[in-house]
Amino acid sequence: MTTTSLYVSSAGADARLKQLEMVANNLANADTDGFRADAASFGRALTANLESADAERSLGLHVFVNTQGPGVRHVSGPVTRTGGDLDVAIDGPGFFSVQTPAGVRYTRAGGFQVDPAGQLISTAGHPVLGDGGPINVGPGAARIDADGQIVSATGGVLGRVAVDLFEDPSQLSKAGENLFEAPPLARRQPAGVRNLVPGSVETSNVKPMQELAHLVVLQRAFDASMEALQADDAASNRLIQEMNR
Amino acid sequence: MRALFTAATGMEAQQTRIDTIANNLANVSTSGYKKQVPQFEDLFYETLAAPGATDATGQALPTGAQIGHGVRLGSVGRVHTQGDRITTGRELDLAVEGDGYFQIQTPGGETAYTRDGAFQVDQDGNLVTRLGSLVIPTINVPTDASNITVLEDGTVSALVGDATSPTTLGQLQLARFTNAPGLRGLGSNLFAVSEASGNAELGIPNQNGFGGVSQGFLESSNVDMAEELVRMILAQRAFEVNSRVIQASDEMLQRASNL
Repeated sequence: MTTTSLYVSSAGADARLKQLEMVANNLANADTDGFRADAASFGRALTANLESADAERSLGLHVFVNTQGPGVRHVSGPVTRTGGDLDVAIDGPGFFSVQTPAGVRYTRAGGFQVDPAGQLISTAGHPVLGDGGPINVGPGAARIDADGQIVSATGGVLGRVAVDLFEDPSQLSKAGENLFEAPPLARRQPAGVRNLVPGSVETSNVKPMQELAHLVVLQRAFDASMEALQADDAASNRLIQEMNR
Repeated sequence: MRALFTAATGMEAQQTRIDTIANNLANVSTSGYKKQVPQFEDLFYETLAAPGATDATGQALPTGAQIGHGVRLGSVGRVHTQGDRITTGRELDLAVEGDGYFQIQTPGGETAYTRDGAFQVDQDGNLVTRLGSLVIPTINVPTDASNITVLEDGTVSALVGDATSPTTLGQLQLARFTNAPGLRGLGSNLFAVSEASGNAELGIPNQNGFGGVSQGFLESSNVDMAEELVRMILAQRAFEVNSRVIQASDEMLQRASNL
């Protein structure tokens, strides 16, 4: 019995609490368009700590970070038909880009609108970027076609939404408002090869049943950590009593 | 315990979803009703490890670790797709096919917009809505008029008295908006201009991208009952799993505090 085991157990419990927060956020966003679930599995990191010769030092690690597994699960969510003229989903990889006050951000949420000035905007109100910057749709009905072209009711092409590709989407970090922030690595998809689904949006890729399974497993693991803590506590208690005798 | 609040935001979001579904289903047979769809956004994230950061052993993390704080309502947009055209055969039932709204003068003197073209003639002979509000521009139908005809371009004509050739009584105009989903619902099948919708642009039906007018038809609600029911079941399940997270958080907290 050392204090190390106490730390390991409490670090394990702490890891489960972090995982619980991730699961909670995934489930809260089960209905958020373009949302991508966070994933973390902690087993490996914990094993490494337990096996480490210098356990106390390695406990300084963020034990919850699994260096083997995925962070954000970048698989597409189900594409749902909405019928909205300016709703568009990306079939395959890539992100729409929007201009925010903090800089260009990326999103999979394709439920677009037009602001009173006639500019194409995201649900959070940020201008959607086309090949040449923000897109002016102007008054009147318009729709986005499978090639990303914005077509007016009279058939004129008003612009085209751009799709940005990343070699490695795991480099993106989440920024809230369905947005991702990226290092400057985006490669813009050449015009004419876009694979968009008009009148549809990509919904959240959270799989509630999977998250529930994670929830049950992490709860059990938390319980186990608590048992270990209690056992450690009882053992040290006994040791102190023996020494005082 | 952040997970408790995170799960609560999820339950709140699903409650909003259910609220809009309930209203959509309640208006499944309201003429000119446009269904509402809430859109949600994730909240801000706490970054525990940035992608590419190195851990204590000097190994670069291929992925980061971020923990989010839940969800919030982004907007409740209206989907302005065309509703089904229902034949009524009434000569004063009008449907817009395509973009555009009829203009109505509310009793308060403001202009409102509607897709519900179930019009009547009031005691003064003016074309009015079901609730008696004037249609703009005003169209007066003489008491001895018969065989009222409304053309696709909104021209209203009728046989007046014993005349054998029709007299033109006026022409309907339609209004359209830069951002129709941003219109404010007033109830009674009426919409009003909002800061988000932009101002009304008027035009002649069937011209410059405006929709045409169909006489003898009404536009039904664009609510798809099957779709709403599916969404309702999904919302209910999502609500349940979020409440399950609250339960789990509570049990874990209890366990920790009983140490």
